[in-house]
Amino acid sequence: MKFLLEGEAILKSVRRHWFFVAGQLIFFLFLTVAPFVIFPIFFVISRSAGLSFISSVDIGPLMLFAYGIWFLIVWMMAFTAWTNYYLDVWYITNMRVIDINQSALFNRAVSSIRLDMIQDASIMTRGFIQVFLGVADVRIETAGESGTFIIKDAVGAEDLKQFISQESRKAFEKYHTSNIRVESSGPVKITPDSSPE
Amino acid sequence: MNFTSLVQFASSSGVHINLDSAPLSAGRIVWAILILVLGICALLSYALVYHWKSYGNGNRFMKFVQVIYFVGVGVISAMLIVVASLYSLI
Repeated sequence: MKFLLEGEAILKSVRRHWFFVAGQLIFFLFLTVAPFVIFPIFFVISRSAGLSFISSVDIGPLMLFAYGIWFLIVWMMAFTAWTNYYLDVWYITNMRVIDINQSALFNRAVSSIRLDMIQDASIMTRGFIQVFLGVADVRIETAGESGTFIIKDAVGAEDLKQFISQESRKAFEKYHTSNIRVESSGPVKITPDSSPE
Repeated sequence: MNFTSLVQFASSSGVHINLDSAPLSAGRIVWAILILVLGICALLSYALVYHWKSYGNGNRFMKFVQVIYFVGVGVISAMLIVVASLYSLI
């Protein structure tokens, strides 16, 4: 992948619960069947309004044509919504937590924090839907200016929090112990090295 | 449906069209709408494929979704063209 550094490997990928995209897809399904309800109502109203032309001329083909266009547009919108959902993802690698925020088709932001910079990971459950679905927001706080990362509506939030804490601890130990060297054979003197190896 | 029928329909809906100055026939209007919609569809499909290829990891599930999408687009477009042709809209 383009955004991965040398030697970096993805350990886990996290997406929002599928319920949130399912809601959108159900809406598009509703839009697909809506003309079957709207067209008959339109005919009834047009007849009662005295538009004799509509009942006298066969406009079926034109309606079918219009519905085809409508269906094509809804089809494309549904796949665009799914793409936005699928590409909105968090990756936990052996070095960083990467947040890819895909809010629209041409609206994409990628940000990351180093695992060894993470100070705390916590879970927040908000509202009925999150409780009902068993999902939660995982909040990751860092020491630097990166601030706070929130993994929204994550499935298995408790396991994810544990995993991030564990990987963060590993990264911290690896990074900081690799920068400590033992000097002289006398009393042990530990000096932190300023430059990473 | 011919152009005269469409004009009658428009007149009954309160829209008045001067037959002598109308530059487009009903068939041409439908043809223009079809071209426009298929053009937008092609552009959006290109954008979707670009996203799927660039950011989608190229996994099997993503390929499956692509197949479903293009089968759907193909079937609907074919239906549009067939309906328009069969009923002499174009």
